[in-house]
Amino acid sequence: MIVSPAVIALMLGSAAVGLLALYASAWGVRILRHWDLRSGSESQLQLEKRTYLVSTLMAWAFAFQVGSLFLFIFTAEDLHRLFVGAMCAAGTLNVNEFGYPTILLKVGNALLGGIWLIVNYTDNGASDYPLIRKKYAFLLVITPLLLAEAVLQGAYFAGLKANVITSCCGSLFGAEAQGPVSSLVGLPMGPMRAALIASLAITFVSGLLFRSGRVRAGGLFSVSSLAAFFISIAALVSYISPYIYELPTHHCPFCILQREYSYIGYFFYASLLGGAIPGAAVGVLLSFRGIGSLQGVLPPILRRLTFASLFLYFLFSLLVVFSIFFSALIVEMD
Amino acid sequence: MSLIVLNGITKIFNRGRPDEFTALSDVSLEIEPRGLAVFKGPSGSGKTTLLSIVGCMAKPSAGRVLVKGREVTSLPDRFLTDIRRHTFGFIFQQLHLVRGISALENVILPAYPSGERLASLRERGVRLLDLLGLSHRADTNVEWLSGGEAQRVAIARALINEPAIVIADEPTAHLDTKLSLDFMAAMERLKAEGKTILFASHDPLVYESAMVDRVLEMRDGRIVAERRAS
Repeated sequence: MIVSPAVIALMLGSAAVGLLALYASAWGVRILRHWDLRSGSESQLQLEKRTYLVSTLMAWAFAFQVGSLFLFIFTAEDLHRLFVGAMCAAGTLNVNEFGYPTILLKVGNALLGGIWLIVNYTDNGASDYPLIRKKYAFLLVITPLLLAEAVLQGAYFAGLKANVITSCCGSLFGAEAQGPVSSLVGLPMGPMRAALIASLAITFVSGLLFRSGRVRAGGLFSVSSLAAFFISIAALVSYISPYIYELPTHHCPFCILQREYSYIGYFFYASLLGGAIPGAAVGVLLSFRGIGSLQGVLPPILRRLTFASLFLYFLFSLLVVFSIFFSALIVEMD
Repeated sequence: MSLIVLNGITKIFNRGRPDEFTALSDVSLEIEPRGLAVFKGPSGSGKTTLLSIVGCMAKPSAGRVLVKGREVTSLPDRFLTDIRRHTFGFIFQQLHLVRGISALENVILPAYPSGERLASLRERGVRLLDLLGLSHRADTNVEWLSGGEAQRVAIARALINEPAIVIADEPTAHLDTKLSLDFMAAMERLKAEGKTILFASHDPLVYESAMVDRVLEMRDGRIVAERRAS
């Protein structure tokens, strides 16, 4: 195991989040089984007091969870100097079999955690806890994933041995690359460009329609913003990254996090995650629009979420256009 | 319709510890609007705890409180703050006036968070002080006021947010007979304006006053007797 401040912070943070999630889940089970706002019993009042504490703790835990994704990426990038063969985070993550599953799980948990934060915020906006059962049921789904992440991340860091010779991103994400993650490299550039443009266009149009009052466009906006997230990640690997590297055979999604490329990767990933979370949350919240006490609470939240998602996807689009426009690479596509 | 409804209110301090203490035990009660009710009883009988719960300053261990038909015990603090500010005016046994600032500034202090224009706040504060015969002392620092004047500043402060309910905990405990009678006269004017007034007091001058509509006697955390004005 390589001990660095970031590794210790990530491990302690994940352990703390996991334990908090377990504690919150135990209260969640009680809430799911016994919550009854009509009752004035001592146990009900105890649940009401406790849920305030638990939801505050989990709000901080999930805020850390979203931030820890970027700390993990930064740490993987920072540690690559210690491994023979690694040129960036791609090599560090490949040191053992837990690296890539950890980052994929962290991305999933960041998305789910972000949506939970928004559901919790919405629930706190109404006085009668309208989403209390739903948000704790949701928490019970996320908790095993958080624990799995803590275990995987622990196994990954524990298995980091400095004498391991790993692969560089050129072989992991090069033209001859093989494996599930590397399969993104093989996606054809032309269709990926079309898919990226289409997903972003649908997101923008449906988002603007939703903001202008077409409620039915909200569902499409939510689905398309989530789809745009995954398509954009795939497009970053297969279509956009060669323009940034000005090398048609290099598709690494991690080298763009380095100083030579002005750390542009962080902006790509932050704008994508920031666009996907509120966009997906719109769809989740729309399913609650029939709840009476949320009538005054939901519309302003939905407007702000849609704006945030559209703004961040717009920022992502600008970064893509900027990267391609100012690249010296010219790719002929059929 | 009742203004305040209490259903099975129990308050236990230090639950599960050796010093566990039951301050209120299954108290149920309805309070009608525009009346003056006095909770009387010895120290430790639960009067102050009951008023704290009615005034949304404390939560019960069990039971529900409805104010103007709205259930308030389940509300998180961010909602209670608004209810406390706009529904209740509090007059404490220790007046808790802020030394070093004027009587008028003390009066308008609870209204600062509302964001209302300072000029209109000052205007309302002066009007309240005038109503209580204290406008000539508006700019005097509170530490220079007499006991009776300070009491009236506290009353004006309780009224600055135009509450429907005024709660006073042992308001005459530190007043002599004349000042106590002045205080009761001020309360009578508020009652005539349609305010609902709740006192906790074991002062006979208060609970035997002709203006009191209802006396609820408390002992050991329970209401043991009740007398209504005929």
